[in-house]
Formats: sequence, C-alpha cells, structure tokens
Amino acid sequence: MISRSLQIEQSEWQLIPLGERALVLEPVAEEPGLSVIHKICFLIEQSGLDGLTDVVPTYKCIALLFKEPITDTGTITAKLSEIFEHAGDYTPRNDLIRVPVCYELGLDWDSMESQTGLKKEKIIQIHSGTTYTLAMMGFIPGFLYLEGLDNKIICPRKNEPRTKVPAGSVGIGGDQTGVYSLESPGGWQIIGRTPLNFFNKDQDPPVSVSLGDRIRFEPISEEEFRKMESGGNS
Amino acid sequence: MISTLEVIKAGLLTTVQDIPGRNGLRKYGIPTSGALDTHHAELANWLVGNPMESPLLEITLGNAEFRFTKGTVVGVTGGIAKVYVGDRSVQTNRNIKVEPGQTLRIERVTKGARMYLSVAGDWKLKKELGSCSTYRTAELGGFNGRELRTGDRIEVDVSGVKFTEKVIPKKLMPHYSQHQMIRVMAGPEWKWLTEKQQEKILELRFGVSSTSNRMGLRLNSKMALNIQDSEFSSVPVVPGIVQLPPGGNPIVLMNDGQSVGGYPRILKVADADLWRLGQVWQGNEISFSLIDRRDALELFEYYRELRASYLT
Repeated sequence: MISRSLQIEQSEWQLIPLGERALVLEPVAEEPGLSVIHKICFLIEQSGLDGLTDVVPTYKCIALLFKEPITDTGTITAKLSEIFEHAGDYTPRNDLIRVPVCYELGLDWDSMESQTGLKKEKIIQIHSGTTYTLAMMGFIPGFLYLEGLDNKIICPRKNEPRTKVPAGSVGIGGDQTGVYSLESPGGWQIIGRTPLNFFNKDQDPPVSVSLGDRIRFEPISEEEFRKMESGGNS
Repeated sequence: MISTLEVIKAGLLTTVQDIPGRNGLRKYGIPTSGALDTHHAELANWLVGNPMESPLLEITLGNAEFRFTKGTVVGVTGGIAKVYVGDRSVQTNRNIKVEPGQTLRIERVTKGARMYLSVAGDWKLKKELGSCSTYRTAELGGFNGRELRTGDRIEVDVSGVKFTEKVIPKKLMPHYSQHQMIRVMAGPEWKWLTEKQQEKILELRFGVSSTSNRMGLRLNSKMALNIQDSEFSSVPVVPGIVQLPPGGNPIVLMNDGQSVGGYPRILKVADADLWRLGQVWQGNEISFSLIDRRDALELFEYYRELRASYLT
C-alpha cells in the first residue's frame, strides 16, 4: 500500500482524491488553523509541482488541481513531503485593509435583529469593531470569506436565497462574514454595502487582496457611499 | 483576409467558448468555463482544421442564424438539428463550405441540447485571464463578456483556409436517448448516506430541471434525500461534483460552477461522461452508475485513445 499521508509541521496530513484530476490535502486529526493552511498553499504554489494548475484553500483543507488525471498519488505525496522538508521561511501576510461600509444599505436588518436579539446599532458596532482575516475566496469571483465574526452576531443564511445580491454587498452567513464583489445570487444576510471593488479582470492578479490579509470594516454614510461609488476607487 | 461572422439570430444562449477554459484562477473564485460538451467542441475544431483550443460558438438549443462576409469553412456538430446554408439543406458532422455573403441557419435542436459552430481560421478575439471563454457573471472573455446578440460581429482571419472534405467518424457519434446513464464515482461525503439512501440514488431516474444552466445541472428526485449534518463548512469542488443540498435535489456542478461549495459532495461524474451532460435538457432523465476511480481513469484513457485513433 502506497502511503498517502505526510508530515507537515509535526502534524499528519492525508491526500484524498476529488475525482480524476484533483486531490484534497487535509489534516488527519486536529484542525490546522488558517495561517497553516495559507502557508501550505504558498509553499506548494512556489514549488512548481509538475502539472499542477490550481491550489485552492478552504477553511479546513486545500484542493490541488492537475492538468491531467492523477494515476500516481504516491509520487505526488513523496514530492509534497520533500517540499515541506526543505521549506524555506514564510512570512504570513499582515496587511490591514480598511473597507468602508454603508450599513444603511443593508437589506436584512429585520432578520438580523430578530435572530441575534440585538439592535442594529449594536450589531454595526460589533461588526465594525472586529478585525477579520481573509480566509479564502470562491463561490463567485472575488467573494471574500472572512474569519473572525463575533459569536453574538452569528445569523443563519436566508431560507430562500436572493436571485440578485448587489455588487459590494457585505453579508453574514452563519459564523462567517463576507463581501460579494460581483452582483450574483446569494443566501447571506445583507447588512451593508462597500463602494470598493475587489475584482478587476484587467489586473494581475484580478483580485486586489490576498489570503491572510486583515480586514476592518468602517461605517460610512449613504452620502459618502454614493460619492465614493461615483468617484471611482481602486 | 478577414471574414466577419454576423449574428442575424442568436437563439436562447450563444456564447464563445474554448477548451480548456481558464485554469489557475480558482483560488480567486474564477471558474474554468469553456465548452460544456468538450467532445463535440473538439470535433468541431477538428472538422475545420483549427487547433483544439480555438474559440468556437456554443449554441444552446439551436435556433440561430449567422452570415459570413467572405467565403470560409465551418463545422457544425453537437445535438441533432437541421442546418441550412442559404436555402440549401446541409449535413452536420462534416465540414461545410460557405460562400461570401451566405447565411448559415441552425434550426431548433431536436435531440441533445447544444450545437457547436467552428469557423476555420484565426478568431480575432482578445483572451481575458488566459482564455476566450465567456463567463457572464464576471463579464469575462468571449464577445464583450456576454452572450451574442443580433448584430454582433466577430472577425475571423481566414487567410490560407482551404476546403478538404472531412466527416466525423460514426464511431465517435453519440446515441441520444431521452434517458442517459451517467457513470460516477463516490464523492468524499458519499459515506454520509445510509446504505438505503445510496441504493435509492443509484436506482432513481432524475429529471433535469428547467433551472439548470452552465453553472449547474439541477436534478429533481421526486423524493427527499436528506443528509443529517447542517454544520458543514465550505469545501473545494470541481466540475462534475454532485452536491446534495438539504432539499434533496442534487446539483451537478458544471464549467461555470463555483470553486468552493457548502453542500455534501456525494458523487463525482466521471470525466469520460461529463461532456454528455452538456447535451441533456429539461425533459431528459439521467441515472447514475457507480464505478470506482480506477475504472474512471481507464475510461478516460480509452476515450482519449479512441478519439486520437480516428482523428488523424
């Protein structure tokens, strides 16, 4: 039996196939935490592993996508082991990004208040008083999944997802908060909108924030929102 | 020499796509996109002598008409539909010569769901993030990031294009039936289902919902297939993953689907069969046949070699 498990920083990880061309790297026992996930992604991307097209982080695991069907997981496991044995230094990102939010443009304040038992002002105070970490992107281009939501303002997703959530919407979905960079369907409770645009297809990379960045929301008025929205922003 | 393709009638949804779409951007939430029925898209490009990765049109349900300003060679394949050049009925699945100013009309698809139209030569379209494939959610690629509309014009450099008759070999043509058997392997959360539920899923004929699109094929199960576990955080997904949301109606993720998802991933459609789902539509039914991963890999190789042996 070929070993499909490997040691990364004293803990054991395993590779599980996700169809023919993808493998999921996940911890065997304890949950690793975001900084470890991001470090592993960085090191694998740097390594230039043969045939690898995508490294996709999520909260608890990482997907590795390959150009061709994977017939030999053992070889990939061995190569990954080697990468981590000889891993160089990794400095986690520490940028603080201030994101202006107009909470007046929230769409779901009624359900937020009834689900949390808190007043809107208190929810805004808690939401904008926390520093979040950019955990991953996905679902739609530039959708930012942020970790660090205060337990007091956890709120389940809507029973009936909206068919259209406006671009820039800031939402709460369970114990996560996040930003819709594009207009799309969506089931999160919308509590505000930011005039910032994180997705730009003409830029390389097309998303202006990076995994591990720290994010803080700063309340702005509707007037400020309109001004920033029409004034263009980067 | 440029021959301009003019859209006279665009049909329900006609987009520029290519193979293999966009790679390396899933970490930003940007999907692969590209032709859903890769089998016929490749054959269409083969018919006109274009490289396999050349852009072409994906025409949902047919019902479209185009005009070419200069003479060119085109290929039409995919579903079953009547096709006319000017007033003359022409056969699909072979390359077709079009004279300057002539129209190409594709009638409504009677079997399958999507037609692929290739045009010999170099398409004058700008790649965006590495591909010409259209991804409408982010207005990316293709023709201004959107579906084609009446009056749109795409330039194709047809210099040096010559017509030599080519026909798609019969062996590579699928048989379209109202009910399709699709081969799948177990997904990471397949074991969360009880044995009874697993049996049920492999016995059921799922109806294809009218809400299906390029992001996902939505299936109706006519029964609840609930999984106990609401505490499931977002996990990586790829095209072909079959998700089971709480309502019990599975969703097969397709090329424009998301990169992470919050529902249990019960099955994964074998890559060898994934293109077939580009040819199913409302009113069709599909069933799943479980194979193991090694079989899926062998099937993929088998079809790849089969194609290569015929397309010389």
